[in-house]
Amino acid sequence: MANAAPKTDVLQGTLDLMVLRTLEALGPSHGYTVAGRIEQISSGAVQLNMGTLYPALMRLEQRGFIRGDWGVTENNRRARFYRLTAAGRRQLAAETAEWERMAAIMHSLLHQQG
Amino acid sequence: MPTLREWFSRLWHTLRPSHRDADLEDELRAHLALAEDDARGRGVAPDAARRAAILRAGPLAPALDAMRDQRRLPWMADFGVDLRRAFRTLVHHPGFAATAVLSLALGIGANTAIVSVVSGVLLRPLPFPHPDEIVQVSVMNASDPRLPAQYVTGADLTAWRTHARSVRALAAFLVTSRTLQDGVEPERLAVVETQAPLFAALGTHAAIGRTLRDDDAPDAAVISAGLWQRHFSSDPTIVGRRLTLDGQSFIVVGVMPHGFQFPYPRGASADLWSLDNGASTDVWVPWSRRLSDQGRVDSVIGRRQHGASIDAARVELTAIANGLVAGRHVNVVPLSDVVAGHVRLPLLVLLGASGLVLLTACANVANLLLARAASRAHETAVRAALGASRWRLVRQHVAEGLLLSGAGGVCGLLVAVAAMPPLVAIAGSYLPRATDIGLDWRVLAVLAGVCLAAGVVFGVVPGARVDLERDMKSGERGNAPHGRVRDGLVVAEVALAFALLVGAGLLLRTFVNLRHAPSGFDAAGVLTAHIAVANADESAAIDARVRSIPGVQAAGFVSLLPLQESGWFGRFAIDGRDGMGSAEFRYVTPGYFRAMGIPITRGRTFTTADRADAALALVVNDAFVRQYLPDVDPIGRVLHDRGEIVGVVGDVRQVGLDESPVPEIYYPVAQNFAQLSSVGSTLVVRSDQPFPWLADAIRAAVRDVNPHQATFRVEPMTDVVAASMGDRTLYVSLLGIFAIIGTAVAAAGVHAVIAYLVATRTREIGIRLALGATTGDVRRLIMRRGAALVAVGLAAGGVAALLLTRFLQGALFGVAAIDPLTFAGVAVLLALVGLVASVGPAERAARIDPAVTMRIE
Repeated sequence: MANAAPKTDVLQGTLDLMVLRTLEALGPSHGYTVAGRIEQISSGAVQLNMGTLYPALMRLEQRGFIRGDWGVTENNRRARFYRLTAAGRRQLAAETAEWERMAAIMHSLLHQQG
Repeated sequence: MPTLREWFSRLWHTLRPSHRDADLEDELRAHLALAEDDARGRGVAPDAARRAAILRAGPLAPALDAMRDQRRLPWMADFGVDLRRAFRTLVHHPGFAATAVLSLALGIGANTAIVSVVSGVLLRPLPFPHPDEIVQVSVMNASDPRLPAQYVTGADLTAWRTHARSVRALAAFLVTSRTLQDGVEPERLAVVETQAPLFAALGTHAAIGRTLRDDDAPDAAVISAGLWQRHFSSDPTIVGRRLTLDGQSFIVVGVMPHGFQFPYPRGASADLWSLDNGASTDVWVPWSRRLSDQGRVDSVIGRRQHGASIDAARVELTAIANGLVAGRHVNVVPLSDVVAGHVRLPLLVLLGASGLVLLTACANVANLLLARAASRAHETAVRAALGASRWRLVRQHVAEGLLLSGAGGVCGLLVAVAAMPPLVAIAGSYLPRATDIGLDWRVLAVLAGVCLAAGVVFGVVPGARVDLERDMKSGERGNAPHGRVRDGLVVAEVALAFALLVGAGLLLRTFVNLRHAPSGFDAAGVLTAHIAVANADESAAIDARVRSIPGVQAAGFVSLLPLQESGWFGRFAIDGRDGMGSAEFRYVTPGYFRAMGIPITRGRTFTTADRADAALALVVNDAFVRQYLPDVDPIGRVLHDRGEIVGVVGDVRQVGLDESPVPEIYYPVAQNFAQLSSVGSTLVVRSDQPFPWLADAIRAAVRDVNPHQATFRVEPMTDVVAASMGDRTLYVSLLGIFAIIGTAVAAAGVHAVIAYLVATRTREIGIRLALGATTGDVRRLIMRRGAALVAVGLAAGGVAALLLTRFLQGALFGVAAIDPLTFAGVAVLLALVGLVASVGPAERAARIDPAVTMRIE
């Protein structure tokens, strides 16, 4: 079985959401672009190595949220390009809403007057 | 949450082992290349760019592994590999695999067969709605339960019907046998006389027509689906057709559905009525006799109201019955107990025994696997050192265990499937509900559970005991780790075999005791034939005609043969004495005692002078005299309204060879024909002629007297005796088979452990021999080890047997549950088996060549 670190579940959910949102923003992209974009947006706070990113992509593909096809990059390298599926868009919407709800709750909790 | 779709995708990839993961690597390499391009684009030198790319993206190999794990179900894929490896290992050790699979197949096969029987006979509910509510009601004598049971009277039944709230639909029924005379061949059928509520109590409706009604004429009849098919060719317009039973015409009012049986035959007693259609009842007719207040009701069935417990019903019915005649005790028994209660204990004993066989087999296989694990301890330790997790190592063992138990289970199922038809054929005559025996989900569930549990245990036990440090240090393969556990398992095997053998031995001694028990009659040279005589004159005529057959020494009729269950008893008063007594009644013709070889101890037997118009004569047995007239000469004593005692005969074991003789009164048929006709009649002939010839001669004689008279079930008295022990024969044979299997498995276990001992101590033995030990010393060394194991096993087995044989108590006769002779005999037998099992390895040890063993290292 996978050697699951305690925080993996939270991280995994977060990671999936990050990837889905990035693909929505960028359109069809390969893994390197996705990792670079997440790194850039997070100002370098989130650095995804391959061992984290690609299993996540595969998981999302297995669940039918994204779909990968081989293509060619602008500098002529073969790579797999991932794009959101309809199910992926629904999932992104649902997860975004859930995340915002959770964040609002946490915010209220953390800033409550007492 | 992983979606179903993800599982399918991963399962799909798992089950395609040929699938390569090149595409995954391509993708990762592309990622690295892109990172490298980026770095170079920022002006980094090629080598540095590659390092920077790897630094940023992470190493390739772990990422690839993570992707592979995500792509499939890694544990499942690995387990497939484990199974394949286990299979190869087993194929390379055919002896080991065969021993293990064979032990398991025998253990599992025996269990599957017995569980099938238990499931069909004891567990499967009777095929009636809410069968647990159906009860049978009887009355017992509260003061002395050993006396023949008192009976339910017509008054009891009426009072219960009026007042009882806990039980409804009470119906009397009486099982009789009658001859169906419409067909070409007369057919002997079980006919139940009963009352309308019987069908309400059972909750079953007729398939065609209707069941009996309270206002039915006495000639109404409900027939079974079987009789409807074979006698009426499944005529859909059956209602209104007639059938003739013993000369009386009945009108069919309904046909019961297929599979409807009532009463359920109890097994051996099925022979009693000498029926042509097994023992199933074919006709239900209205209760024919007037049910007077004091009249006897044989059996009563009813249905408990919802929520009324058995105890509540018993208390209520007892109170009502004692309101009429005090001092009685009403027994309320669930129908399932009536049907199968008498086989519960023997079947559970057999179930326990087959469980012991399975335990022995499992212990043996666990032992073999431990020995193998020990010889691979070094390999295992190396794999652990190279990074295999403990779980991974255990899994390999579990795979092997599951493979073995699975193969054992499949073979066991085959054994059971092969064993079931003969078992059911033999058991069918002695077990109720034999037709319900078969492989059902319960059996298969037990089977699967046993296999799974055994497999996992086989795997976990050796797998969990990896001691890395110790195993690595030992250069020699196998320095006998977990030797204690293995010894313990062998001891357990011997102990289990001991318990099984003691059980079988006790039953065997019981069997022998019964064969030699004084039956009170002489069965040799006696032929019996069931003939439903029409009247006393006919019985006398047949009597006389048969006696004139050459070679016939004596012949006579009796109402019920000895050893045929179901007594016919009644109460009597002795003139000049207080109180009532109770005794078995039998009706005989004058020649019966001589034909059966029953000695006259006082007075005379009946003669042809004891006619209907003569003074009523009675013969009693020794037990009667002992109990009721111990202090006086019984001859000439008068039983009120019944007759004068003219003679005393020896005791006969009427009920069973293991039952003490009960007081008996014999009546002459000539003076009591009405009674005989309702019980039945059997001709008993003693001669020195061969039976087949004699049987034909008897049939011819009967035809001479009455051409329409049928002769049923002609069989030697010795067969009747054997049939009365048939269930015991079955139980003792099965337990014997289990004991033999258990012993063989235990012997294999002892052999395996000693052989393994020799194999692992080859070098030590070589050194001993080199240092001057004789081959005799070596032989003794090895044999002593075997003897020690067996000795401890015998001690443990003795204790186990002491604890277990008490469950056999009820089945034993003439032998104590703790029988020193049996225990000692079994101990000697097992000790011999153990020694024989160690002889081979000891010989091998003695032939070890020191020069060769020293060179091995």
